[in-house]
Amino acid sequence: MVQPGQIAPSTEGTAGDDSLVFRAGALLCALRLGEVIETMRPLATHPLAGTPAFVTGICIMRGAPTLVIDVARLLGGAEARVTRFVAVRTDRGPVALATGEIQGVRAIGTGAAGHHEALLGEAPARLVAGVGTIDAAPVLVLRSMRLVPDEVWAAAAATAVPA
Amino acid sequence: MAKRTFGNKLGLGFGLTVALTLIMGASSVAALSIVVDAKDAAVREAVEDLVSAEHLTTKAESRISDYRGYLLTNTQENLDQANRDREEFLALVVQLRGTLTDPDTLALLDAVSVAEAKHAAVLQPVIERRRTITNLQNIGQLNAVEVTPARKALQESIAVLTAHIRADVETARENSSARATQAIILIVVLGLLAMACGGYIAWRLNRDLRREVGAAVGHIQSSSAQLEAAAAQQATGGRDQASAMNEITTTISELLITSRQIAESAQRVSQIAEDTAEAARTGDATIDQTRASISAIRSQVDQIVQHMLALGEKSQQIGGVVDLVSELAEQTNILAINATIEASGAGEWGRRFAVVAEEIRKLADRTAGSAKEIRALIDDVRGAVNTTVMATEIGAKSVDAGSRQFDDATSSFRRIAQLVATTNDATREIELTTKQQTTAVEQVNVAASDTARVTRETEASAVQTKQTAAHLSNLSGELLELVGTGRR
Repeated sequence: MVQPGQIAPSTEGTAGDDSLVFRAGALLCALRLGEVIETMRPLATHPLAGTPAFVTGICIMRGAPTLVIDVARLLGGAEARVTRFVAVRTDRGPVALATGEIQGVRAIGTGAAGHHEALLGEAPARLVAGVGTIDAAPVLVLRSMRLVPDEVWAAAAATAVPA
Repeated sequence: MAKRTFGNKLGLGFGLTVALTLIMGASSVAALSIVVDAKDAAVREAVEDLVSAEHLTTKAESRISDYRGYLLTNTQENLDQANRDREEFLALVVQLRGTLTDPDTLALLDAVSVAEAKHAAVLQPVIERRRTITNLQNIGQLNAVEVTPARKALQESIAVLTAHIRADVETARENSSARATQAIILIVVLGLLAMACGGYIAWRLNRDLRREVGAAVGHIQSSSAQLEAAAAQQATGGRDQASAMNEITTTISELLITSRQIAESAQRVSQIAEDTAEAARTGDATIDQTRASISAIRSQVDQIVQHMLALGEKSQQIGGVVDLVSELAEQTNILAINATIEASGAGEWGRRFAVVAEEIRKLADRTAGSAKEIRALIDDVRGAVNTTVMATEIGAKSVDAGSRQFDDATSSFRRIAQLVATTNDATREIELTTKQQTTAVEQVNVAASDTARVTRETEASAVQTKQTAAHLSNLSGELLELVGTGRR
């Protein structure tokens, strides 16, 4: 049994990989460090017309235009205060995730219950790879942005709540 | 007559009596005049007309005698005498014609004139014939047969005239006697009327005398009784007034004592007011010291405010430094995380570096937490400073308000001092006035004593008046007896 504060053993890939833990609204989320490029303060973001609600806009990061995705709106559909940008790698270049406070680097593992379909949704729409815990608080371990197929983005865009 | 005085009534009665007497006298005089005139007329008629008529007879007879003498003697003297007699006869006729007024008598006189003219006419030829006869031997020579009838006619007419005039004289005498009788009756009637009026006036005066004098005396008697009662009441009132004046004198004496006590009290109050004014002057110095202390407090409060504002400013500067530290801690946190991220892909060496970076991140977190705590403390300090500044400013305002209130209190105190001075003046005036009042009360006391004496004299006068009124009442009764009313 996993105690609060402990990293649950992972059943997918390398269990207990170091992940960057951050807040997205009321949720705790985690991304594996291999996906993360860097963290920074929020940059000036320019909104784009015709984009889904979770797409805040674009910003200029390291001299290149970068898409900004609000993780709280993407996962929970609710507004949340943005205090950090997390740059992640995708197949189409880096993407900036607008998040809340960064909790640090932790080794997050997910148990068998963390892969239940009732928690993770349908396979094509899965954004969450599993659910772990930190001090009795659930942590949503996000899938690698590279592995998220376009259908998932499309489904997310279809189910997202308009801003 | 009821509104006239009794003297007027007496004068009026006497005047009426005199007037009646005068009327009676005038009437008597008028009646006597009428009677005298009637008698004069009768006498005149008797004397003049009747005598003239008788003279006509005489003159006629004288002419006839002269005429006869001429016929006998044929002397011119007799003829002239006869002619003068005829002229006198005609003059008497003219005189009678002027005095007679009765037409019948005048007609008779005309008849006499006619008879005389006829007689003269008849006689004239005889005279002419006698003048031619120088020796009268026979009277028949004269042929004077017509003379005698003419003479008789003349004599008869004269006799008729004389008889008629005598009858007129008798009638006039009777008329005058009747007038005299009427005058006597008139005078008697007037005398009776005057006596009746005199009697009536005397009765009326007697009645008015008894009625009015009696009424007046009755009024005098009742007024005397009222005066006696009033005098008795006045005497009683005088006694009461005398006793009241004695009480007033006693009260005024007590009032005099009280006025002197008031004067002494006013003097003491004046002394106390002077002491109070002195204490007020001493209080002025204390007030000045208190005002200086309040000014010092105000200055200290201003300095406290300045120091607290400076403290707030320093706290703000500290906050700026803390913000900078917080900023550095945040940057360090980000750098540490990024270092951890970078180190995660660098193998074992990277793992060690990640440990160091994690420690740096923790230090940065602790630094940020401390900076946050410092920031909170600084905010608390600034809040406390602001609260202190506000409280100090409120205190300064309170000091200002207290200063103003103290100024008001000072003004009130000085006003009190002025009022005390005014009170002192008023007290002195009261003292002076009370002394004057004491003098006035002494004068009133003297006047009250005089009034009491006058009241006793008035009482004595009232007793005398009462006795006089009683005597007057008795005299009124006696006067009523005298005027005959008999009322008492």
